[in-house]
Amino acid sequence: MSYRTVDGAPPGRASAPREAHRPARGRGTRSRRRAGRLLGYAFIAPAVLYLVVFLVVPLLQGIAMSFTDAKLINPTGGDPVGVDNYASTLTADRFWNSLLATVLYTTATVAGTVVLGTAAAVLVNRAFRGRALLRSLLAFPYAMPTVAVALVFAWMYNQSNGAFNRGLGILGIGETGWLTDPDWGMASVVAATVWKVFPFVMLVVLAALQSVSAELYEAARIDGADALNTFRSIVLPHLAPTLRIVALLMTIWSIRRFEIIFLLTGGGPVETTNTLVINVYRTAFSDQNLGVAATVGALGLVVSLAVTCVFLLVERRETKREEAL
Amino acid sequence: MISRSLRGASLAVITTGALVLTACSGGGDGEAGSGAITFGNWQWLETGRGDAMWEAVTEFEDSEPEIQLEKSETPFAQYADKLNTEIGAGAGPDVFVVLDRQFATLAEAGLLEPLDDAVADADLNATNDNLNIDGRQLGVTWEQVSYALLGNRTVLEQAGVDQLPTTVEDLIAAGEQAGEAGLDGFAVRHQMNEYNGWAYDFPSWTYGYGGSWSDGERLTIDSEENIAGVTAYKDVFDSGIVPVGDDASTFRSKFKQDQLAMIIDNSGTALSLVSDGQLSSEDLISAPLPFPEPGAHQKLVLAVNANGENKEAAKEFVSWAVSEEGQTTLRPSLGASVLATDVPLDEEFSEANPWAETFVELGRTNLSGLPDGFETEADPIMRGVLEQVERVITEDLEPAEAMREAQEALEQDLS
Repeated sequence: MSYRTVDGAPPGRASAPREAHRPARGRGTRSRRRAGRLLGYAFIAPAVLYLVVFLVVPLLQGIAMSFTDAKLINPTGGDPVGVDNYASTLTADRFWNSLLATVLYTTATVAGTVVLGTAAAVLVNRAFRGRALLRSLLAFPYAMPTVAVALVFAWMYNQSNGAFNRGLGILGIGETGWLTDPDWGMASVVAATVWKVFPFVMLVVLAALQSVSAELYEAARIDGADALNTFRSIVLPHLAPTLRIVALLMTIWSIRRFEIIFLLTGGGPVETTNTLVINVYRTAFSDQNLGVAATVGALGLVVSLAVTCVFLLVERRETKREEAL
Repeated sequence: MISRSLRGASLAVITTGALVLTACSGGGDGEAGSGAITFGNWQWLETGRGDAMWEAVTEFEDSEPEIQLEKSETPFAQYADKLNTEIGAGAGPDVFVVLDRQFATLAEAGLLEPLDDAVADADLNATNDNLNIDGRQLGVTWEQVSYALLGNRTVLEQAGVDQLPTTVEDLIAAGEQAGEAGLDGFAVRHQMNEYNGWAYDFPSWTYGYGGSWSDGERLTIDSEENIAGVTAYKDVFDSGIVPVGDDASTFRSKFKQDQLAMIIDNSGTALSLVSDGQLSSEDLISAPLPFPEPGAHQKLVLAVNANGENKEAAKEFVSWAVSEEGQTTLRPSLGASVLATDVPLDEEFSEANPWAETFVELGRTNLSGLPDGFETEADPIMRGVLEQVERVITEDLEPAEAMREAQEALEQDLS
């Protein structure tokens, strides 16, 4: 048996011309590599340009604006004020209250969507009659426009004529100010958000569940594992990376969510749902103070980055741990 | 030959120059008093009244055929934010209606075109005086709307209430009678997600007890009069006659559909309520506010964008709007509000809308709801006040304590 080159020629014969032409082929290779690199840059150029124009430049402008006293009706005419905006923002109760509201809203929303989404995914991953219909119904809220969801929930939450209080009335329970009582405002907004967003988690987790090998379930069954043990020992470890990513996405989206909160409560009652994003909007448009609004936005960005870093550190640690196993 | 060449070259230069200048003028100020102008106003979207108002406004085109009006429509809730953003960016409609607290900010920033020449021949009334800033007329009154107590006759009769109440105690009693008849008693705005409207509605309660937000030099949020107004507001909510959570759109619909007995609302809304035929003018009754003193009014200002592309044409429109012809044309669609001149109510309108006379009477005594001397800070001040009022009605906070907290916080913020 003799080795041959890919074109079928014996190795000796094939290598001689290759050696003879090495300098010329080297130039060609470098040229092709350079062209390949340029082509790569050309492919990513539109995305980079888009990010620079619509993300980096506005971000830098926003940070620069946070050091000025710019007003809404004269956004480019602000005078430098140093770190005054940061000092006044960080010493004001409103900022810390809105940070607390953001943490509460984000934590509750992420927990609610991940738990409900995972449970729904596990449910519709099982084979049963009407599964396709149930999957469609469960995915429906995610397809609904946020404004419509907010308006429908506002109607259902209405204290005097809303569906929830009418239901409670039938049960003999008194009225609740779902959107007007400071004790209930946040819970009501979180519930509406979870209903709207959990199908996204469900769909992602469902996709991950369907990649779990049937042999693993079979092995667990042979080993006598019950449903709970199968989920804990087989399904959950398989889902963990997906859940971490989903939780990160949910966290970032919750920190920056605006429409549903604004439409339901506008930041009330009594500031209980005045999250950082709502605070930025109210400072910029109601108070017309762009400089301070940019400051709150910049501080919010720091919070988002800190959360992302924590998630990435956890992700790295878990990946290393799994590799070690 | 040389002479001919020079003449040819000169002609070419002049022609080119003329073409360049024509191109640069672009149909803006170069064509003074002609072309299209955009007119921004949230009222175009008001059910029933918006169409009638636009129809009246476009009669201007009959007297100035060279100028065409184009609508710029934005719902009330987003109007102020959008207009501020547009005008701040050097864009926005050529001519627009703006809330008076927004007018103060735009005027201070130099974003409004002086209208002195445009209104020189008009017989402007006193409502325009505070739109003259440093000797320049930067806006004219579009309409000054008063607040009155409005009742649905059918609902009140059903509840056994003979006449509209004149005190807060009577208001509560009448509301409770409506409640016993299975209907809602009384409604006003009361939530921060309706800030723009609530900030205008609420001052009537404190002004109604002789209060004001400042004495011209310092804030007077925690004055006894203001505390009395907030206490009256709290009493009404504590009585249970208000459908808590209903926004203005909801309670106005209920009012029209015979489910709600009374509201406190402005003259513009009163006209809207009877404009779509659900509620007849005979079924809408009005009375002065049930407070000891006159309430506050809301002024809507007509102004021209200093950065507009067709300022001369926009000023032509303002000139027409404050003329006798313009005021007479606009009067029916602006209902019972006070206009820029003392144009009387249309006779036909008065006969068809007996509720309107109350608003005309109230317009003679009520006061501006803006904080005197702090007009450009009106929004932060009202937001600070309303946040505390919200606590009064939801957390049972004492009105005196709430107003004291608002005073302290605002003094600190504004310093």
